[in-house]
Amino acid sequence: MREINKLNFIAAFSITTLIFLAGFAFSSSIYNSKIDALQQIEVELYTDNLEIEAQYELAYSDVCDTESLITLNRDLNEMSDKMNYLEREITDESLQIILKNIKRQYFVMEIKHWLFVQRVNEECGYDYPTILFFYSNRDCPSCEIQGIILTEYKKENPNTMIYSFDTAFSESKIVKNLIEKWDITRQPSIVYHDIVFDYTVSRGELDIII
Amino acid sequence: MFGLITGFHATLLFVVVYFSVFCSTFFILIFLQNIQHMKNPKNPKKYSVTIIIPAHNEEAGIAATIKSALSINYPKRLLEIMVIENGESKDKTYAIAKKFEKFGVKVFQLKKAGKGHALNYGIKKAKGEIIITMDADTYIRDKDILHKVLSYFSNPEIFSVAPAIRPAPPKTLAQRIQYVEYVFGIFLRKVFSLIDAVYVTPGAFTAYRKVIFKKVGYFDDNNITEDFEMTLRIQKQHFRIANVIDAMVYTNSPDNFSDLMKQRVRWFLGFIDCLIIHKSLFHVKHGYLGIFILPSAIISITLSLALFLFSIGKLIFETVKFFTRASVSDFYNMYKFTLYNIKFDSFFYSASIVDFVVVILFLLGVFIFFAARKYSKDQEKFAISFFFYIALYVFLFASWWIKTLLYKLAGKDLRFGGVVWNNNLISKLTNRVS
Repeated sequence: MREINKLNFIAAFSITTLIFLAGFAFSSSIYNSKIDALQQIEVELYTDNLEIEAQYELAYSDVCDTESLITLNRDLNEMSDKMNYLEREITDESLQIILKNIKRQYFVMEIKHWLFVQRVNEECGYDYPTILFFYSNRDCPSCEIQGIILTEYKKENPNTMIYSFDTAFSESKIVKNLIEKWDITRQPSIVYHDIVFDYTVSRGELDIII
Repeated sequence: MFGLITGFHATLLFVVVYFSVFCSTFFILIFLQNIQHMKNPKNPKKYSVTIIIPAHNEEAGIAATIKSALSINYPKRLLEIMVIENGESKDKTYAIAKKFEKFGVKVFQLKKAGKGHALNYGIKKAKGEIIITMDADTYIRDKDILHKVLSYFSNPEIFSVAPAIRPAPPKTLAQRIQYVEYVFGIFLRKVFSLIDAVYVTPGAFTAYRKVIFKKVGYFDDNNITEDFEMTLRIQKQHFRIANVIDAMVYTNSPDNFSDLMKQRVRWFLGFIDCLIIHKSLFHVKHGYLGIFILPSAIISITLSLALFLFSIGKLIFETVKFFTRASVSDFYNMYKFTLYNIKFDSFFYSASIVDFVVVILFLLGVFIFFAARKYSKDQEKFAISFFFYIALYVFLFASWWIKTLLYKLAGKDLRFGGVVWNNNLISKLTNRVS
């Protein structure tokens, strides 16, 4: 009978488990820093919204000044990038609450921007296309595809303003109002010039519509 | 369903990583506990030695092999070298070997093919009390190799000694990957020898006390991996096997992936058959070999295959998803979309437990690699080889096993060394050496 030293197995098992516990601690610290970052975003967003309110006041004083629109676009795009990432990556229920608060503020930013662009188009004779995109984060694969199509369209047509609203997000009164206004019943749906397209609009069709 | 695949893949990855870290940690612990055993024992005794070189269609390397054997620093009166050409080689193997007779090399020619058969013939004719089996595509640079290898026979419990085996300096991608693989093998073989768990004494170069063949029998010439089968027989009777980490022997390795695949399929077919024949080794009475090393080998293979197949499934899923998106967008812009989403803001960084532990596993692998190089005194340049090994080895390993299993299931016979090997396991079982 050959001898076996069980201590070697115990030591290897212990060290391996310790390594995994260290990994857990590392992962938790990353996760906690994400929570901190999210909460920070929430606070910053609230502060930004106050500043943006002031920016809109300034912008409305000279609606046709394109510099103001560029600044507001940049703010919205930055927020949009972060929102896209957050929606995709954050699945943990404990973070959803913070995410919801951020989403509500984001939708408010979108509506403000949309109203501003409408005003710019009316008063300055510009023709910035605006698209309202209604999607759902719950079990809607075609929503993702529509999102991709719209993202690509915007890359090629940077003057196009696209505003995305999650119809599954029942906490937002603004979203509810918009859904009622255009009687949105299916996702994805896009609204352009008050016309609702309640199917996945292809890239080619977008060129025709817009 | 795709969610199921992704979830199972994540769990499988966790299990694979845990198992890999556990094994690596275990081996490193054994290694560190026995650092003092890296030095070879002192043994003034001089043994009579016979080096047996079986050869079949080996004209390309036989001359270099014989020359390297002749260059060994050892009393000539105690060193006998035999070349046994077998199976009626179609090339000039015999003629080339004959030229070395004037240097005292004994050259034999056997009509029947088969490495095991040739070795047994040589063993029965050998005068040496130590038999060294050496492949005809192997060569030695370390002229003191015999002093190092034979020193281990000072322990009467040791009946076999194997050196460190390394491929010749790599030139191709396939050889670079094999180089790193062999370096890891150098470390593992030493560790296995420290816990009496060596399960293959390489046919490329291994020394045996001649008496072992009376105790366990001669090489099984019905077995395609006769070296592996012999080792298991030695282990079954608890004869000890040593490893000399700083005695380096070089072997020619396949220079392309196709030949590498053929070699590995042959090895793995032999592995399967030998483990089935000697399945009684899976027992606590055989120590670490029985309860850990052999089971770990099987677990590693199973997990690698499972992970490979699920990774392929996930890759196919992601590819379908990618092209589904591409089908609704301008194909030209497809790649622009993909790159657009890559961010370097630390906010977007995501780390899981497995990510962290994989980094640790990599570091453990680096430790093993450098320890093997240090103690075997290997000085080959390794950076590019290491990179390709990390990138490709898992896929290669899985593909070799998939082909092996398909080969086994198909029951196809294998042609190697001038012999057609019957792939039928039942036939092998009835022919096994008792």
